[in-house]
Amino acid sequence: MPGKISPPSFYVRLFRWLCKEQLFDELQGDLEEEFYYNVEQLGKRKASVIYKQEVLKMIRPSVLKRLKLIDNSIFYDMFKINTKLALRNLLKNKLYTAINIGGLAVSIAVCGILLLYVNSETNFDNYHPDYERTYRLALDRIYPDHTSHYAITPYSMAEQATRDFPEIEEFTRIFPAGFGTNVTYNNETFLENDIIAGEANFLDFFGIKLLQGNRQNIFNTANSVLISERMALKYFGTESPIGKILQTDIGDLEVSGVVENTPKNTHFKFDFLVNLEGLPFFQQPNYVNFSVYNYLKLSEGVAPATVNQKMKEVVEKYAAGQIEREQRISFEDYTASGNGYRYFLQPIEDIHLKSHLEGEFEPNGNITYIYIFFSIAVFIVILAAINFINLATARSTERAKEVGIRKVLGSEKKQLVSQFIIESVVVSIVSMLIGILLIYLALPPFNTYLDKEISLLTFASPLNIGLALVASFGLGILAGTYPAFVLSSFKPVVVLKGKLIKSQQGYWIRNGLVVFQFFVSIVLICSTLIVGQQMQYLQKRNLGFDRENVLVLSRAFGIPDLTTFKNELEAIPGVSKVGLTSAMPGTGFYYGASFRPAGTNESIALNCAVFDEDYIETMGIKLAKGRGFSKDFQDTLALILNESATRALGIEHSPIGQRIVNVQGANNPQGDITYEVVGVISDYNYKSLHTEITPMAIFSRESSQGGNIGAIALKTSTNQGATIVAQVEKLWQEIAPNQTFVYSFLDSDLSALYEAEQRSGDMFMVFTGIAIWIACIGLFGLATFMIGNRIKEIGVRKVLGASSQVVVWLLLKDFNKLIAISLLLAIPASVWVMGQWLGSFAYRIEMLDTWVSFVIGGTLALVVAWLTVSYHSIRAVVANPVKNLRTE
Amino acid sequence: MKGTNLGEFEELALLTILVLGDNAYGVTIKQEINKQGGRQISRGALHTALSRLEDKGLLSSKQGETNEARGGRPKRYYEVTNKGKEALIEAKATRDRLWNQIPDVRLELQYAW
Repeated sequence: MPGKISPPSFYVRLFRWLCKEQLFDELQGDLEEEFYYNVEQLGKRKASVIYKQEVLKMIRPSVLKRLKLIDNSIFYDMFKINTKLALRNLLKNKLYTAINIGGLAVSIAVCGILLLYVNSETNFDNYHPDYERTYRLALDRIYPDHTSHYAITPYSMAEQATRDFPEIEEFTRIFPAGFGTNVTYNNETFLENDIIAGEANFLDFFGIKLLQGNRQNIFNTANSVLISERMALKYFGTESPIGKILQTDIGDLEVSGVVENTPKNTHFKFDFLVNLEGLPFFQQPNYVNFSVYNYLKLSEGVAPATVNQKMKEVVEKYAAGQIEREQRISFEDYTASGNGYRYFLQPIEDIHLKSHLEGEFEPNGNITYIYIFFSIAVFIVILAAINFINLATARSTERAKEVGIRKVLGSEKKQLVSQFIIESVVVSIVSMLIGILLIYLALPPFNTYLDKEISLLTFASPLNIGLALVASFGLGILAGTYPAFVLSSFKPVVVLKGKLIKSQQGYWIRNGLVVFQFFVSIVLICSTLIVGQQMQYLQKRNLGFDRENVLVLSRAFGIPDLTTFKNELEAIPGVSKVGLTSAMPGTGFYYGASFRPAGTNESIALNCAVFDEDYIETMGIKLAKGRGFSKDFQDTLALILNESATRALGIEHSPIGQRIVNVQGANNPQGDITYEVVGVISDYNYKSLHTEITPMAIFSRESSQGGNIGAIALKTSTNQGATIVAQVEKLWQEIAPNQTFVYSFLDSDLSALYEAEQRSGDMFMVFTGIAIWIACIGLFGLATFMIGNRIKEIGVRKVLGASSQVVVWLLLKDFNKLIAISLLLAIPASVWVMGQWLGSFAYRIEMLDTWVSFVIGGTLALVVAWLTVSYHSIRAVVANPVKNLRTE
Repeated sequence: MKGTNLGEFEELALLTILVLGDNAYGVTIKQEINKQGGRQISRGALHTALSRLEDKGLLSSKQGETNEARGGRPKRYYEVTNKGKEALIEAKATRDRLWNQIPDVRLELQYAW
């Protein structure tokens, strides 16, 4: 039986090392016997695993050996005595120790969480095979009056480029195939949003694991669908999903495989993957209309700039022809009038943080936030280290005598320094442990809040643990060095007499540290307030329509007879107006189409939408000129423009009655159609406030080119939302029982557009609070020190008749100076940082308007500082002067 | 009473040792508990329980023979002492008393649908 096979020797030795001697024979005997039994029953590998687990589970007090002290050298004794002294000192001053360790532990925890967050945000899309040479094709579409940046591009671009250029190795495409699609299995219907169409090489290209099914042939039938693990569980539970049929709005789909849930660090996610090749509108090549996400894998060593350059050839060779056919204008004229297509490659790794184009899969992260959060992490740890220094210095008044006695008894400076450093290393190690515990406790709510899957355990590698240890040692030594040298340099005779040395240099260092702390705190306070101001501005800004009390029903295309349904909705008490549209502001999709004034050749692209005759009134959009659509007119060929569009078309002086040609294109493949402008609406923000208002054209419902009605807007009276929703839902169920009822309120839809900013604002607030708290701890320590030094002065002043108020003010004055300096430094820094942040909004508050934030921030810092300092000042002032003066 | 109160796992261990009779040592006790109790316990956890029971005087142990599979290390056999048996009987009596006071109807499983 034994022979070659034996338990893993490292673990045997480990066990022998940690186990009490008198228990070892029995326990090791048992483990070994069981090991050989397991080898026979389960095989060697399983048995070894069990053995290792058993040994690790032996680590418990009843089994562990008492640690024997191996080294008895003088260093060890010194170390032991110093550690003991450190612990005693720390326990003696419980308040200081608690403040110190608490402050450091919290800042380590905050820093840790921030670093984990930054780490998770910066590790996007780095698991795809060859991700460093994988790119997404993006487009700067240049219009005569503006440039738009698109993530979605024409679907033949990548294919053609791969065929023409040897620099490109492979391509794949993703088409977002269904948003708000009903999926039914076994009479249970769910509304699914993450349906995409991909190509046969999708899984290999992105390195996504297939759990069930055939990787070589993922789409084995025309209507194959791959589903995610999550969906397999949701629809089929324990049944095998393979071969099952799902009924959906886009046809019946047969499940051909199950893939892993899209890893969280991917810029897209999907639950259903259907075959792109099978979709009807991909049969004809198209180089002009944006429809898919194109991904390219370049050959090794090819710079993306080379391909950016070559994409121009594709535009000239293939897209130009299509443009000429569709726009009936020569490509030269087209470009001469200021139109252009500039394709460029985005490294796939950078998409999550650096790409903010139109038509992204989901709102991406923001690299500015990463920089901000990373700096906050660093600053918070620096703040805490400064506290360390300040608190240790503060205690020097109390410890001066200890140092004096020690020196008299023969301690060398070296020994004192090592004692103080060990003390601070103990503090920093304890803080690190508590900090890690705090991270562990805080991560689950943090993950839920940010929809992340950060786990502390994945970072528990030996390297990271070592780094954490080194960091806490380093922090302890760094923070302990200055106080150690200050304290150990006291002259015994002087301190034993009861005097303290006031070194000018020390004064500058200590004050400099406090100024730095308050500088950071004020920057954070002001930034938080400015973020708040901007958010307020976004919420309150006049968007050009009425956002309050508007109930939105999505998926209006599910209603068979919209006119009847609309009439019924209008009959509900509390509903004052009902309007239909293709796209609601903020969240809706506005497709682009080309227009030109009749008689000219230059066409421009406008975003298009469809309104019915009541929508303008329902939404409270202002009509600037002319009329809205109306039942009294034949409006099939009527068009409404926004003011930007009249300017873009050059008809802003007399727009009404102008004839505008909708150039043949994707929305009207039959040929040019001439419309008459009947009305002009004031510009309103139909996209989020990150972007400016762009030209827009509105078709009537009768126009066949307008597209489908997608949403119904109900203007309701205040406070009746809930009852109206219930009635609307009942009506919906009667008319379209198979269609999921989806509703929302316009104001919350719009707020959701700024969710990322809102969340960062919240995080900002929390970190600011922590930073202020930490800075106050430092100030508290400094106040102890400074007032302790002046205690006799206070005594003398009082004896000579100074009032308490005067003395308190005298003490506060010093600190006011520090805060004022911090504020002066903080203002330009905040202006710079916040300027960067505000730059990401097209509509933003003026920097000048942020003065309120600085006033509030500065005052807040001052008040907090006063509160912190006043504890000591008032105590010192109220104390009987006799007591203070008697000491000598 | 105090001191002789048995934890659920302690009770399981004592009963298992009684079931095993003369052959109660680490490996067999562990396997039996795993089998009968339907749970996976580690040898370390078992050791903690056994040594606590021994401290309480509910168990006694003696060194036994060895064999090749143990690498020449002796087994340690465990035996329930009289005090241990009393504690078990006491525990059972308490439970029986409680069981007898429960009306049958309250024991019927109820599900909320």
